[in-house]
Amino acid sequence: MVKARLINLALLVLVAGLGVFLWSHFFPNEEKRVRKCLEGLQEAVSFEAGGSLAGTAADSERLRSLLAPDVEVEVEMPGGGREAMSGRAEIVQAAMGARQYLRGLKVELLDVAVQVEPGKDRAACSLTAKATQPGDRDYVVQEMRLELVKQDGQWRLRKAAAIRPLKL
Amino acid sequence: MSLDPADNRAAPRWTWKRLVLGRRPKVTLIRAAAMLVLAVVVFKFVLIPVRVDGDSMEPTYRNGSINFINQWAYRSHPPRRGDVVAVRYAGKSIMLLKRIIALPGEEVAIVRGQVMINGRPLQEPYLKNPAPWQLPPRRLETNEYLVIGDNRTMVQSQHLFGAARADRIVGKALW
Repeated sequence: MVKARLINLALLVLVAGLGVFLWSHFFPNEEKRVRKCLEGLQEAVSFEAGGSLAGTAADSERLRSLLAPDVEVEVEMPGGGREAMSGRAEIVQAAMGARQYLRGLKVELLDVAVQVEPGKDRAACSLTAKATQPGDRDYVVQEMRLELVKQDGQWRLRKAAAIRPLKL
Repeated sequence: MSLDPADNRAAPRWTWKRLVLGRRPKVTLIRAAAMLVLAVVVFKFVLIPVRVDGDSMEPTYRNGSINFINQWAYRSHPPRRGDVVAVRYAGKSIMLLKRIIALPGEEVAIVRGQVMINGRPLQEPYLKNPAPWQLPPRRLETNEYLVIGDNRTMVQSQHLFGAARADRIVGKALW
């Protein structure tokens, strides 16, 4: 009797867990949608050497769809100095143009923390971006602070700025 | 020589199962689970295992060497000058390993490779052939520590150093 009850309880917990998983999968909350957007950005700017033109075009279109029209990006350049870019077209052009000079690029977004504003149409993120070129031992690391906005039901990057962990 | 089958039954049967799980499999599994939980807790909340990547802390730490960051090192006292600490970026996936050379509120400068704290030269026995780095005097905020690598033979512009906020210091290198 007790054993049967325990089995029923275990089954109930299992079904409830499955229900929560399916619900969050098909109806993700805003934080998950923001994280999905960041994953998309990470994939759109990463590429392998010898990629096809069609692949580059697809990545370009994907990147464009994940950027707000008035997007602003400010990054630290290797060796010092900051580079600022603004506007969707300029950023997509810079990201795709870099493919001509690099043998591939793997971008990873680590330690992502997302904070969605109460209105659920703006979000702030902090993360560590790591960029590696295949075959290179060295990599570039930058802490970034991002602002995302929800436009037409989709989260898009509005602003990205590099943060220095050490200040001089 | 005996061929009595009863002898075979009496002899211990050293099977793989016995070798892996021991005489009392239930106790062994409980012990293994406890060890696993302990390892996860220790290596997540107390000692973070790290691999040194880069040469900014040479010769003290070689590229590729393994160390642990003790996150509880500063529970009883604040960081001290000379401590080698891990400074986080957004999180702890990638951290900077640097040495504290100046404490909150101090004035720090580097004159031709010599670190000056409140106008006095700092003795740094861990350095080998420092290059003539220059840093104009600056006073640290009340929550800032100046951290720098031990490899000062590098070109200054290629060495990441500066003031780290106290909340960015994750812990102290174990050795």
